Amino acid sequence: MSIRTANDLNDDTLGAALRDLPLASPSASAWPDLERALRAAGAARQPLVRKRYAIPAALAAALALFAVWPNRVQTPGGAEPGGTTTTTLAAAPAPSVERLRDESQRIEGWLRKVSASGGPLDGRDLMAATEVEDLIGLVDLQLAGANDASPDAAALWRQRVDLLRDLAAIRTNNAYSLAGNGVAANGTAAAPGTWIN
Amino acid sequence: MRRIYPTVERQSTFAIDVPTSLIDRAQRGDLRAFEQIYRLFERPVYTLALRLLGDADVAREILHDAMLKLFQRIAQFRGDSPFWGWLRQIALNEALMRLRKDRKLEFDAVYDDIEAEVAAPWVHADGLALEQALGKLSPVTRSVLWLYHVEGYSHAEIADSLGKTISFSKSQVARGTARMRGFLLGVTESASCLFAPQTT
Repeated sequence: MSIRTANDLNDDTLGAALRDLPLASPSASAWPDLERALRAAGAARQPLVRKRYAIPAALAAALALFAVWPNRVQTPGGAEPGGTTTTTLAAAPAPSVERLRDESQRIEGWLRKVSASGGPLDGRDLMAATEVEDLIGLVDLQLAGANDASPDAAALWRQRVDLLRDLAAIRTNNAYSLAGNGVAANGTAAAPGTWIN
Repeated sequence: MRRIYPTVERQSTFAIDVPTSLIDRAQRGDLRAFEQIYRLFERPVYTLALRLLGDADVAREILHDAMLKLFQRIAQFRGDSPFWGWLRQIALNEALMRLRKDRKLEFDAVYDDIEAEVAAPWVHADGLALEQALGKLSPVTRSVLWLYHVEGYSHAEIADSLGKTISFSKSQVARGTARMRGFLLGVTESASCLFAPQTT
């Protein structure tokens, strides 16, 4: 058995040949599994509203706030002598878990109506809606592990309401697009303010 | 496991510049930034794992685990070393841990008896033949050969990561090279042996 010199064996040409080998690719991307794992681990957050939806989402949220606030946030005295409702924004307490849950149900009801009566979403809207729905699912998972007395409960419900409003903005945007294109759409459901009444 | 960085760069497949803005977004938990980083390094990480472990399914698991670890720790990245070097170290650690876990600790202990005068067969070998010959090496020998020749690790760094001596790394490169020569020339395989891993 012969022993050759290091120079002989550590042939640089082997290194060059190995470096010339092409990079390998997995048969299937690992990203979908990785994305799920990241979401489950809470290591990632999705930008909640993309630029395209920023304005409609803000509009929807503002309209929702405007329409809902008088019915929900009242001073301890409630109605004024004249029978009108007093709204005191500066003194408004943070919404309770119960109120946020009601709000969540209200928006969900509106979304169900829109889904039943509206047309399909286009590709970008669908992708955005799916992402928001995924995030809602994640919040639901967290809510499942927290009771109403938990310190995180209100924040989670608030997050859920915000996400539903994002989803509503996407749906609203789609409903207007459909109407603009002459495609049959439920005009009542398409109005951004209807889901809050 | 200690972090090691190669002293001699040989254009590692990992050597990709990542914009600071992208790292910043990832550190803030932006999922789309994670995805962009994943796409940039999918093939280098997978290739490293495949070369070291020799199994496509296991290599994909290493890709997943290394990337997950990267993203879970990305907030700790301070930028005092190249991002790609940090990721490569995570991927290498994952692969070596898997080798230990699967007890694939064989290394080549015997030289193939080939005349030294024979021309290096890899000069004219096609990629498939080279990959097949590489695949016939024992996992540890293949790992040492790959890290030394392709990723540019020094013998000291390889010895450190494997918990072995520098002499061991040098001998594995020499023996692996000899065995590659033998495989490509169609010589009968030599024996392998096992070693007990040293804890670092």
